[in-house]
Amino acid sequence: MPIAKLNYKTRKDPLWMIIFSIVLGSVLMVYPMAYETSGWRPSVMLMIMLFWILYQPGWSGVWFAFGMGIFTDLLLDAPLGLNALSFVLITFGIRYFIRERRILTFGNSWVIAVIAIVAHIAFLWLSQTIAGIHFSITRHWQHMLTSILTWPLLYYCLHKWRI
Amino acid sequence: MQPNLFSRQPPSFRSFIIAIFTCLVVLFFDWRMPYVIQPARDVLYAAYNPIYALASYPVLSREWLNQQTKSEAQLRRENTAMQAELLQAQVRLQKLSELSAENNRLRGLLDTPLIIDGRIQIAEVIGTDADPLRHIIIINRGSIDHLRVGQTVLDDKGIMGQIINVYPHSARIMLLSDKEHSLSVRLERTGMRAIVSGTGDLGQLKMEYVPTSANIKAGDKVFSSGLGEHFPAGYLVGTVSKVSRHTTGEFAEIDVVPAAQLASGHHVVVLFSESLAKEQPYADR
Repeated sequence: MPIAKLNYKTRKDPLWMIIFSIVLGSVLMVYPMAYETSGWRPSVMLMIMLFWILYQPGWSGVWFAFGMGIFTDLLLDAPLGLNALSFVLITFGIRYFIRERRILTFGNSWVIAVIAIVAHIAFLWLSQTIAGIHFSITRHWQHMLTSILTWPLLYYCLHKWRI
Repeated sequence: MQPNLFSRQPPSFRSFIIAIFTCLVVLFFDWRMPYVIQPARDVLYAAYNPIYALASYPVLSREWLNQQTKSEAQLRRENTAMQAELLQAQVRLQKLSELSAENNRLRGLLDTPLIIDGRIQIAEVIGTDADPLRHIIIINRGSIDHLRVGQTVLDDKGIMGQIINVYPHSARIMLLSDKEHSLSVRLERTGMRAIVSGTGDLGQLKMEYVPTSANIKAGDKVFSSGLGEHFPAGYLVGTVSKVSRHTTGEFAEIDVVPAAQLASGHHVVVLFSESLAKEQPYADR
């Protein structure tokens, strides 16, 4: 039975790339921007987390997602644990639903990323509404859209380190 | 790592449950006992300093490039203008020093030793808070330079805000326009006391709890009053821009335009003087 093969060599050790991508992502998250344009800033940390969860499952799992979430919470001055909870739930969901069919072509990964990003926004909306904080939909669909649209770019930058 | 690609093992439920539980515990602590989390937050903020510095680097380098590419003629022109300005400022300063001396003499008569010129520290704005709903900026001075929480921050036009967190090499400043910020003020024309709060809009503050009958009109200058021993007295806060008196309400709605350049300032001054009440040990006489 022919198996689809990757036509390029994959790197052995993605650890430094994981660290580098997180540092770069956090710089992008806090890069100073005007209020109007900052609404369009994609959720870089979420996307980087998704990429490593999908393509380096040996290196990154639920605890990786937890760490990334806490890191993001501290970076954004959000309630500690909010992003972490969302990331952990998303990670487990992805792992659970694709455990039988890990055919991770680029298109499939994009579909998974779209669902995960929408789920993340929905989770934030739910938790903020429960906590009684006003959640502006007009501000959040923007970065949802840019996150979805920049996934190919992220994939292009990092695909050498996938398995 | 190839086996992982086709691994059919279900994900570990146990670590998932533990992670969820840890998240909830952390959320609970952050919600009910923020002081438990605060030391960890402080340490990590200090650790994030390089990230903030890196993020602000493109902005700084653009300014550096602007400086480098100015033409000589432009520099000469600027130099001439600045010398004229300096001369003007020096003349004003002479007058000020005379006034200051006179003030000291008068205060000497009243037997109240007051330090007019407190120590100041000039700092550079190196970043803004990541949360766009908060009006918080980050400056490049910290506890190494003896900054403390609560110190007043000014620019050349007026009060900008106060320091809310201090880290070794940086500090966070809450601007006047932050929704959670208020300060006590005094109107220059009538001497009336009031409270000015932020609205979440960089160009607008609001004056609260002023009765509709108060003698106040657009154009009145608003100065800090020094009450509450937090901000020093006598620094410009802003100008009243609009007063609307509704017959239904007990209080007038008063808009104040901040004097400081909250949206665009690049250099700020951190003041080391105490508020007026602390500076005047005999004020209660």
